[in-house]
Amino acid sequence: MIKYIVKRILVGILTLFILATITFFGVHYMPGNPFEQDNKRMTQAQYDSLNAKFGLDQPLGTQYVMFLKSAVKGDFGESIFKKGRQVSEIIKTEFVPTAKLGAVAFVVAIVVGMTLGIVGALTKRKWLNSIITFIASIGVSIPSFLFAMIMMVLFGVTWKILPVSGLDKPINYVLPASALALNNLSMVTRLTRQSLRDELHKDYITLGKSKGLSDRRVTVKHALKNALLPVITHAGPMFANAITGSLVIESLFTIHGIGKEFSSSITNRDYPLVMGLTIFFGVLVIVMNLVSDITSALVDPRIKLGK
Amino acid sequence: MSEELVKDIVLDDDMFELLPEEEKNSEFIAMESKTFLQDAWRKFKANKAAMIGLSFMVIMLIGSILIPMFSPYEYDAQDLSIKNLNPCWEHPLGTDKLGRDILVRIMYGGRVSLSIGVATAAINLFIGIIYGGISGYVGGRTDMIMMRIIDIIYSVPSLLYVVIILMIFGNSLGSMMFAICLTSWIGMARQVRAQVLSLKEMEFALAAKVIGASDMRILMRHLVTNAIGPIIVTLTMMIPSAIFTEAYLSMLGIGLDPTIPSWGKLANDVRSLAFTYPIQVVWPTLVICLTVLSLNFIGDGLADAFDINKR
Repeated sequence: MIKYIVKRILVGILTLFILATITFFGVHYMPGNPFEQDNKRMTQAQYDSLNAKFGLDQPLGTQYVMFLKSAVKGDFGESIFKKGRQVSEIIKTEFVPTAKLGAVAFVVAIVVGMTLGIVGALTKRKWLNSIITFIASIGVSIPSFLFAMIMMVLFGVTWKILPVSGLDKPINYVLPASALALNNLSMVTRLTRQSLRDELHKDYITLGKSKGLSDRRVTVKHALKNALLPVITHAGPMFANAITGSLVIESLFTIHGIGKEFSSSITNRDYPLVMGLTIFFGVLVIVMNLVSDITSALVDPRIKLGK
Repeated sequence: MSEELVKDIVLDDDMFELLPEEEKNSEFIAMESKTFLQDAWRKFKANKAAMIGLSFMVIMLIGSILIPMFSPYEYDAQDLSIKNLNPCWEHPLGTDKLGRDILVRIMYGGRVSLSIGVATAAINLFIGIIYGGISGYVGGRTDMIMMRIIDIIYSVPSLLYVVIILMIFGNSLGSMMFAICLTSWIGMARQVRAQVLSLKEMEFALAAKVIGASDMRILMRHLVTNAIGPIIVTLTMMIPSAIFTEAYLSMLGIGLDPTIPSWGKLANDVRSLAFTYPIQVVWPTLVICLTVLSLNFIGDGLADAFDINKR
């Protein structure tokens, strides 16, 4: 177990290192210069001193070593576009709204998805099952940002019952959170329904019933417990899904979070910010994958790690 | 005595009649012989959702080829006197803010988006078969190293790489395809590897080896052809995900060249119009959603038809 965890952490660090390297060189070979907008008004001396300030005049190898050294400490330097602000500080402040929205969406996806999945596995009513199948396949197929646009037009513009921008009040969360939750919700629904159905056909359920346990007790105490494991295993990928989803959802709903920061940093060619955010996302996803793998191994003794 | 009786009987042609054609094989109990693909097609036809999806895709394909060819309007012909029209007889889906016909633009965008989908799926098929085939067939240490590489690429959301690639190589159609392929081949490679791993232990693979077939021939002629079902299903699922990625990147503002009206581009262009002309927002989103949904239905139908255990 410990061996497995150590190995996973080492692979995670290697992955991050590769990602950081690709990002660094990628960003530096991008056409365009962060000071382009100001170029016309800048003298050559000013331009040189700006380049020197951000270390852009050094050879690429030196820049790379400098970047790695400070990145290990969580320091990605100063943003080029937002003058005087540290990248790590920007990430810290902008992450709050993103995390709030993501948490709401995650809870919605898990709660609603599991409910639908359980109902779908237990119900004998055909129409109910068809509705759930429909939701599950729509949610997997439709990109979240297109769903968001349709919701905006329907609820925000045509019927005018829900606000479509910002995150000031709880009601503002409804549209962006449901758009962000959609894909994961149907994923959870599918997983729960499928695994609960499988569990209900196993021998231990027949045993429980034949020794006189009520249907409800067998389902809730025995089948459901085992059926929820796949959901834990898939929590990591679902988290990654929510992160990439939030990049566009935030700019659609004008939420000033980390996703909006990412897309604007790309347009502005703000090298330190792009790198900082990419690595931040990478760390988040890798850690989440690791946590969900280890948790599911701890909860389910059937999974043998480090084979 | 009995012999004489028999001699007296004259066998005349009138005493016989031809057996009707349909009764000839009435004792023969077997289904009509069908090839693998015929059988799959029969099962696929019985799947309603998949057939609806297929019909929609056929209509979209024909529409995106023919409508821009035969429409009186060019996809980029501007006419400010008729801008932002609602749907009417001359412009079935209305016109956009520069007076361009939306139907023609969407169909032209269909050419771009569908060809991105098909082309990336084809490239993925090529890379996936080679990488997954070698990894599964050679096995051992090679397999382990090749799979670790895949794990590392896979553990970071692909969009982070895609964004960087697109920014370095610009926003042409080619770099978009390259960026999408960069990570999406992994799904195909894994599928091919899993199939090859189980198929190479089968008797026919051994038989081929015994009669002296080369490794390359066994892999391509015997193993990959036997894995055709799962490969086709994976391939079908790749087209919608490529269309999705393209649309997503356009929404982030790093999509294709602005002059190329892909579906993602069209959806991105109308974002700000939600309050003024909501009808214009509906068309591109609807088309992308329906296409992705149809292709997914087709994929599910194929998976059932090829009898592949789904997740």
